[in-house]
Amino acid sequence: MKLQQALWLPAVVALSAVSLNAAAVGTVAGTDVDNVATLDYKVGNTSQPTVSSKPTDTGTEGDPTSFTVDLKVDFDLTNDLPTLQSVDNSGGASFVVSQIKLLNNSNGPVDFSLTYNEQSGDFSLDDGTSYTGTNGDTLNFGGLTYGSSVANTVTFYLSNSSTLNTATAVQLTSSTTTATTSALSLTGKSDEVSGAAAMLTGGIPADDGTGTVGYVYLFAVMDVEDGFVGDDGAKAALLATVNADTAYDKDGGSYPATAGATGTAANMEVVEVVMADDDLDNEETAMSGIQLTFPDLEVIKTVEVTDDSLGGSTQSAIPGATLTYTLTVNNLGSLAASNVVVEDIIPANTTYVASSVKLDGATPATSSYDDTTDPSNPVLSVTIPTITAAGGSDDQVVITFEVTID
Amino acid sequence: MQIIKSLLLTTLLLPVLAMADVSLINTAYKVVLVEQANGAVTEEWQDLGRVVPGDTIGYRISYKNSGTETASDVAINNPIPKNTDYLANSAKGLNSQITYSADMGQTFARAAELFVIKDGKQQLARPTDITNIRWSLAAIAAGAEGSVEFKVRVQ
Repeated sequence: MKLQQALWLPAVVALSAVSLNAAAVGTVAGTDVDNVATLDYKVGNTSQPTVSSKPTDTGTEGDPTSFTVDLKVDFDLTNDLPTLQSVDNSGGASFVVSQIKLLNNSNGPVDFSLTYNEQSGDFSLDDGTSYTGTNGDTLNFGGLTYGSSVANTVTFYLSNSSTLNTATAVQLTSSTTTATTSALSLTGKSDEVSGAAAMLTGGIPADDGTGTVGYVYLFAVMDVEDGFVGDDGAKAALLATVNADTAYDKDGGSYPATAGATGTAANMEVVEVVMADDDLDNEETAMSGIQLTFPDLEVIKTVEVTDDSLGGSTQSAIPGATLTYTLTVNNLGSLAASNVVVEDIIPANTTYVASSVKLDGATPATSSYDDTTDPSNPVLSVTIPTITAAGGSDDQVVITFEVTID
Repeated sequence: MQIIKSLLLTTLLLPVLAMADVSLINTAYKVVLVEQANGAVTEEWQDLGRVVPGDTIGYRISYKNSGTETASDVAINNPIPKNTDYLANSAKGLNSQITYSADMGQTFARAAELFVIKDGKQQLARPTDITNIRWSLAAIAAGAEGSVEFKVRVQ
């Protein structure tokens, strides 16, 4: 009977107790954990008043033995562009060249300082994909320059979404104080903030396990300009740091304006900070980047006399003779080129043979001969639909046309 | 005679505050495992310092009878603090019988006899199901003192 009682009564309460453990990252920093023990006893057969514990020998009976849960800083950086992807430079488009997810696994909101560092030389992404720089060029995220002379713009965005929407994401202004680094700081702490727009001033709340808060994506978007040539890797490291002096206000109120600032006693409750990472430096890095690939075209021009009308075994470049020009276009790059327009000026003292232009032996779909714009320098233009990347089946295209010597 | 009778009545009916004076001091410690020079790992109860989720906290509840009479049928009760989980087999106390509750202190049973019902099935209560601990002591003699303890993990 006694056993049955033990079986029966706990049922409902046990179920409700489970819901107390909902927090994904543990008890929120700043929470007070209180404990009071009680003692009942008798003297003779007489029950005595319940005695409550006191926290210290000189404390007051019934006051709880208490401690405050401190902040355990724990975060992950994840590279969300796990493989090197190729982009082309057609149309002046913008490309996401880096996408890194910062997840706050701390038991409270934390302010992070994010730093993009340019990487030089060979590098490997977090998924093990390695990339070998071909010519030592580096892509500069901070100074916004590529190579030695060509300027490119890199724009940083913060977003709650893994898909960048530049219309709704928060655009960051990157620091250009140094040539090679760009520091982006997210400061402040609040449980109340939500949405990307609040992140710059509101910090990143703790992950609650729902998948809806606790993280932020940092995107780097680059405009690839026409002058951007070569076959180089873009790479960036994201360093997230949390200042150990961070003040934390569990009750809301004023937050320090900058990372590392400490609050005043009036409205701040300073919670001590414990770093969760093994080496206690509170730094994580994630490698993210894409490989920028481009067509690299070369044109080789040759000429031979194909008919001097003399009928001999060799042809001589005499007036009236027909010359055949051959333009060999090679794509040495790692990306196909399309709609390549090849223009050639018909040499002086020669006359273009109408409709003689051939593209790989056939009449091209698009070509023109213009001797009206500049009659002394007539221009032949041929459009090549596609030249595949080097090593492809059509990485070489041959254009021929004929002229006669005046 | 009347006076004596009424005195006797008073003595029987009212709590005898002056004769047994039992006090409780509840102290929290941070429980850490420390590797000694010889490689052995020992448990140390240290001052709290920083406490973060996952840390182990030990509570030591010291009792003392400062009175002149024996306190009998003693029951020390301690609910498991909010935001913490009881650690299995960590409740200890000399000369005490330890029972547990999984229903906020309504019923108590030994750990091996404490059941809960989950998903319609009867299960032995796990440590995280435990909501209260009770140490039952037969008596605390006048002038005697001692302590009981238990450990929790911060959620």
